[in-house]
Formats: sequence, structure tokens, C-alpha cells
Amino acid sequence: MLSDVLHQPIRTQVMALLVNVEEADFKTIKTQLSLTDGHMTTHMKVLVSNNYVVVEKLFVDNKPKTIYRITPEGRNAFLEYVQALRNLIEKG
Amino acid sequence: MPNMSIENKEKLEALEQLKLIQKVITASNTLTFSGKRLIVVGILLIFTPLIQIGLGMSLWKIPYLAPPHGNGALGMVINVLIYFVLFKAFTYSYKKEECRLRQQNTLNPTLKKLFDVHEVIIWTMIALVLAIAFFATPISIVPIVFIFLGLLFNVFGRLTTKMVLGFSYSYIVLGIAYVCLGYHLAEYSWMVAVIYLGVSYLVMGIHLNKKSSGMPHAE
Repeated sequence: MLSDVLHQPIRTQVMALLVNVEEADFKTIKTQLSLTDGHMTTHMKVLVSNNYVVVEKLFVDNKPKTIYRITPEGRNAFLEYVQALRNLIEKG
Repeated sequence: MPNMSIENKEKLEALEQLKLIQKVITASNTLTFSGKRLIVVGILLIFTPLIQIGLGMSLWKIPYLAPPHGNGALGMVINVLIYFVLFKAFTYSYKKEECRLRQQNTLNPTLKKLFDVHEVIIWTMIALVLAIAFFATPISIVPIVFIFLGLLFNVFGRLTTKMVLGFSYSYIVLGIAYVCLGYHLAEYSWMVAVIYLGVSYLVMGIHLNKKSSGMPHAE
């Protein structure tokens, strides 16, 4: 059974990016994946509420910066999801 | 039959998702290289034989430096310095862009560490080239440079694209072949090698540029 949280193209891409880089700020994720502010807010909320990602808000040069970091739980869930996709493909 | 088609649809979806994941990871790693910088270096390398011919007709004609009675070592240092300044000047803004990309928190932590090693390898290579120019036969410079670059790009190729990996193997093979053929090669064979290096940089630069601007678009 595929995870409903991860089996969604935008969330899959955000998680793939975060698994690779561990953490990234709002603007970077948005730019790299060509997302809108609305998409970002909606999907990041889902990932945060499932404890796959933690959010940290800080000020850099007096400007607010929102950083998203993947949690160990999120990493495991993502790896399990990738394995589930592979199993599905290999299923005879 | 309907069950069969649902199963196929699921498989197709799973495959698409895996491709998407792979694309995001590769594109995110590729962003750490400035394709534009590789293109500029490639063009400079292609023109290197012409630059060297120019230096041969100007720098190496100065009586104080010209062989056999001139100060060849000083001439070599000036020759290397000219290239160093030339490459630095032309790639300065692109180097800055690369540094900016790497400082952003969008880089794989392993890659971050690798870039520190990259600097050490490049400076070791430059020092070795100078040492060879002074104490050994200048013909050894070509294979040394090719093997060093081959190993360096081999590491980066594994984290970015297969094309980079392919070129890295070609550098290593060419470097070893150059050692084997040694003095059987024509005097100007280094020019062919440098032009190949330039063309490969150009191709990799264009490829990486396309990759980094082609991040998957979420729907």
C-alpha cells in the first residue's frame, strides 16, 4: 500500500529534494521545483503535520527565512515509499 | 481484464514517480556546477594552442628568456602565470556564482565535503605541473593533467550525470595512452589533447546548463 502522504507528485518532489540536501529554505524549494506559494504552503503543511519535515523560522540579515528540514521519520517513510514503488514495478 | 489494466496503470504510475524522484535528485546536484563556467573554460582551452603559439612568438622571443641561453625557468613561470591570470579573469564571475550556489542550503552534504577536496586536488595539480615543468619533461604535463581531471570528474559524474562520468573515463584513458605513446607522439600532439579537453568541457557545460534549467515542474 502506497503512502497517501507521499504518493502525490509535489510532495514526492519536495521529499526527494529534502532527502538529498537534508534542509532547504522556502524560496529554494519553491524555485527549484517551480511551485507557487499556495502549493508550497498547502503541501508543506501536510508534510509537517505528518512529522516528515520540521520547520524552523529565523531571521537572516533582518529578513525572515523559513527552513524545512527532513526528520529521520520522514527519511524512513520516503525510503519505504521508494521501496514500495519498486516492489510494485517488479510485481509479476 | 479490467483488473489487469488497473495493475498496469499502477505500475506505470510507480515508474513515473521513480523517474520524478531521480530527476529531482540529479537536477539538484547538477545545480551545484556552473555549466556556464565549464563553457568559458572550454572555449579558452580550445584557443590555448593559439595562445601558446602567440606566446612562443612573443614571450619566448625575449632574449633574457629565450632558450638555450635565456632563463627558461623564469619563462616557464611567466608562461604558467599568464594562463593562470587569463583563466581566473575569464571565470571569476562564474566562480562566484558557483560559490553562491554551494553556500545555499541546497547541496547534498557529501557533495559539500567533496568540493573541499576538489580545491586540494586542483592546487596539487597546478603545483605538480609547475614541478614537472622545472624538473621533468614538459611532455609529462598532459597525462598528469588528464588523469587528475579524469579522477575529479569521475567523482562528480557519479553524483550528477552519466555524460560527465563518460568524459572522465575518456580523460583517464587518454592520460594513460599519452604516457604509453610518449615520445612517439608528434611535437604538437598536446594541442590536439587540449582541444579535446576544451570541446569536452564545452559539451559538458551545455549539457549541465540544460539539466539545471530543466528541473521537473510540479503539477
